[in-house]
Amino acid sequence: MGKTVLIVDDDPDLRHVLAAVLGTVFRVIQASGGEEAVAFLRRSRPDMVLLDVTMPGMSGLEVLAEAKSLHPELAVIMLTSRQDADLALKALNLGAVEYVTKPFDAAYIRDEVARLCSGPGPKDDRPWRIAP
Amino acid sequence: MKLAKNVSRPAAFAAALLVLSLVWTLDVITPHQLNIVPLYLLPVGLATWFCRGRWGYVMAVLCTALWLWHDVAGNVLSPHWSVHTWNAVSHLSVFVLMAAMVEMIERMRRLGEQEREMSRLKSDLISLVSHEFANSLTTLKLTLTILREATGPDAEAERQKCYAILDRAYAHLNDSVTNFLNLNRIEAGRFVPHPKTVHLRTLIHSVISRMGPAIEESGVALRLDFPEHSVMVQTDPDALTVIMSNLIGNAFKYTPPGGQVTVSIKFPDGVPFARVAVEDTGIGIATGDHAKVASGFYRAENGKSVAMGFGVGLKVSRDLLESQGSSLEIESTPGKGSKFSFRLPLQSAPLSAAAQAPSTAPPRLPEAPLHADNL
Repeated sequence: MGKTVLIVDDDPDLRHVLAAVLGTVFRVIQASGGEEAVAFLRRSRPDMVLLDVTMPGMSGLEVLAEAKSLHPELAVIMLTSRQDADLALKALNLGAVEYVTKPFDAAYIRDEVARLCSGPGPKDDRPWRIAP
Repeated sequence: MKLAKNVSRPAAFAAALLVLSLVWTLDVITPHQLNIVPLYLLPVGLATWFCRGRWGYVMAVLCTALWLWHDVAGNVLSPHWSVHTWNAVSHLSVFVLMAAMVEMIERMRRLGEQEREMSRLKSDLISLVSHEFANSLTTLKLTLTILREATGPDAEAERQKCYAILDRAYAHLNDSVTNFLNLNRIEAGRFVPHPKTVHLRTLIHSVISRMGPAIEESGVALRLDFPEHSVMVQTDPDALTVIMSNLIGNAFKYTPPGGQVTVSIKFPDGVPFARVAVEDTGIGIATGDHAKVASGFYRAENGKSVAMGFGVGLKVSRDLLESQGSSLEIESTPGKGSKFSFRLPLQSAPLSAAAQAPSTAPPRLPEAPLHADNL
């Protein structure tokens, strides 16, 4: 406990269940959109951000760029339903540490967040992982 | 080829006339032995391409007439009248043939454009639907985990929340499937618009009666603001059914209990159109998001998307309207409500009577929540 995870997704139900799943292990903060997430990031630095790519208003990639300019070392996992290699590369080039495609299960996302929250581990060779 | 869209017909016909006058002048000032006739094909082609078929034929006749006039008046040898007639007929047939060919090519171009539009719509919808599916499936998967793991004093409350989330995820998936089936209908060619004369009030009533239970449970009042006389419009009935169920469905989904949804048919003065509007007192859409809502989900390719929940349905509606030359207009104030409206060409309702009818004292149908049996 103690690690703070910011969840940014426009779907309130998905955000709620994701928060419930991660809430048993981490301190969870939710943002319903990019603007809200950026406003939070200006005030505070979480240990990890779970960021939806497709959102109304600011897109996930825009939020990612803004987040990295505010906190260059911040670990950001992108969540998306689009299995789009171009987008994945773009996110990784912008500094995302991981790229997770929906649908994913609770154990996978818990493990990923725990792994990446525990600091910069050994570098993974693969550019991104596809959820099981 | 986009030029054809941007040039107005009168301007294009005027340009074709100008070309004709130049060709004719050239014909008059050059020696008779010099054959200028093929140049007359130019204005015929122009008029047909930019002003559609019949104007091409008008130009063909005009070209023949002008050519004949010069041939009769300017020919010093004055051959027999049958020679003039024969030449005129042969020229006319070549000009008409030119118009027919250009018209055919132009029609094929338009068909190709429609096909491309349809396939773009289809691939947009596939990515939209897959996005909706992936979101709902993630929600389902995580919710099931929570249900399995829920223990402790708050478990029951958490479970109740999960059931509500599962219900919503189910409804969302159901909507996605419905719109996906609509996509299949588009693919099958049934949504290439086939305008017919449609009884507007009857169609809207049938859409509403199908939604009966959802409307009753919503706690939102439905008000119908229709004129007393029947309203016949020229549109694709299948497309209109999808559009109305999406717009009315959205209005109910995003209006909290105690609110009101109004479906209205109005007649703006001086134009032969009916304006159909679905207005709610719901959550509304921020002004900055109107364009995003209207422009569709992935269209802009910049990662911007529509406001939450206005995904596939609104986009399908908008595209279906645009494929028929109409457009979806959005007025909305966050927290106060939204109004989605579009216009449809009137078929037979006399405009003068229509314009007088509803604007001052519109005849109102039930103000209370509407049930299928009082439609």
